[in-house]
Amino acid sequence: MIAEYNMVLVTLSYLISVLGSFTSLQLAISIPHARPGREKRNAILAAGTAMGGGAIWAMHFIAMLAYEMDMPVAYDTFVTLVSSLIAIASCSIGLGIAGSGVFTFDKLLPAGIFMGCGVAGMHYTGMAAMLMPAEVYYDLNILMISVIIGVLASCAALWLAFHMRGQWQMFGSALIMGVAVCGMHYTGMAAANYRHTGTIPGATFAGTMSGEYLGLSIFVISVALLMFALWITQARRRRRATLAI
Amino acid sequence: MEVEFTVLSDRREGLLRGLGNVVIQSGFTLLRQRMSSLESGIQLWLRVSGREECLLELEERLGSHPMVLSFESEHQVSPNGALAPRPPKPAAFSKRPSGGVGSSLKAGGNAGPAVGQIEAELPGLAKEYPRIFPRLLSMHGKLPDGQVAASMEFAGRRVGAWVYKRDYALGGRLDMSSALKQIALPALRNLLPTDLKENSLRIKNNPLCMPGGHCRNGDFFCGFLQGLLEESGVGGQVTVREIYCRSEGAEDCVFEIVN
Repeated sequence: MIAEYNMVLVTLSYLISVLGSFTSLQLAISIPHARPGREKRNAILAAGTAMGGGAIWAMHFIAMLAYEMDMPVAYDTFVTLVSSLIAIASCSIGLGIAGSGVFTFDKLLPAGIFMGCGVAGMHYTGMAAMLMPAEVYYDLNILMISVIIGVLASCAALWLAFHMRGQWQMFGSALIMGVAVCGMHYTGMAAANYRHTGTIPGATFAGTMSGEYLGLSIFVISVALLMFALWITQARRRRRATLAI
Repeated sequence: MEVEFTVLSDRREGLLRGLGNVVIQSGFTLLRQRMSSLESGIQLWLRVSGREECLLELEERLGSHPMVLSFESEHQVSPNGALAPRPPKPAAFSKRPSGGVGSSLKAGGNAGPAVGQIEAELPGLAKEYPRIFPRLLSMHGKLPDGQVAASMEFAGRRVGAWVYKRDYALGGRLDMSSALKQIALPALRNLLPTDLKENSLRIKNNPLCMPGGHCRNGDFFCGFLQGLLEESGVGGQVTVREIYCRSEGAEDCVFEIVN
């Protein structure tokens, strides 16, 4: 099978993962100070949704659009939805662990495992949602490496976000989390081998999403993330200026 | 039984919530409260009800609470509602360590901070932060003799707590060694050149302590670090002592932080 990457979309996929990570981690660092109960739950869910739905899910599908294959591809809507829920749930759990109590190495590893597995879970479920006249086989060694990259880079990003303060916390964590998401994804793609079958599963592509719908979804998510990131930044700047001594 | 407490604190923010939690954790119910500003600090009056056998525990908790400078209690001894006064109890001062600059001055029986005077200066300190030393020196010179140390420490605590909330609140809760590295060190470096070695912060060219002055004016920094670290929730009792002072011939002022 002949396939190649559109480098503009590849770059865009990294940018969207960084934007999503920035939004998510900026929400996440307020989790430790949220009041227990509803406020904390909402903070965790908001951060998890931005990470799972924005940084990971949107990045994945931009990257899939960047992967130009010589065959028609559509995505099973239900499995695609499940893939986003996996990412949101895993990231929420991971961020919830990192944001509870005193942040220590003991919390970093389980939180990073949840986040990394969230990225990987979303990716491989998203791959399973692909409907095309081909079968996908994985090189297990590269697959394992992709998961390890996701976990380790997630740990590094969480460490920067929760342990550090200042510019490293704000931007370094988002850039590293972008590496976690993209590193896992593109390594995972390198693990995939395709074999033409000549038959399209679900003969008429019923209940599927094609590239245009994905593009629209991604556009909406990207704008929402951008607006949210700007809103957070502005709100914090205002709060900083008005905080009474 | 019903008990009335009159608590004196140096901080308004979080006082009611903090002491409300203490009341509840001691098995009492908060019935009424009233907060007012005095020259000597913030006064919080509380009326609580609960079982008599838990009263001692409540008083112990209030006495050891970091926001409480002192308190008085009056408890009902008869069913007809007559209140018998109890003597005032010293609270936070008793737990400060001996040997520290601020603590030794307070333990010596000096008056508390000149809260009104400091409160008036705080907005100016916030506005000029981090270039606060001209104002601090001017403020230092205007304070009444017996209240200098306590007042400078009080000012430091308020500025430290404010700096934490403004610049360092977002992020994970850290243990003491991480909080020193990630919060206290950059916060102090924003004011003066500072190094960290284990649990000691070495401040260079401290303008509050001039060489040969034999003044030991580290109270502001003791308070600053306490306010910063206590606000960060490192847990436990944060104690800051100035162990070396350049006014007494040391190269730099060195502050030791004990948790």
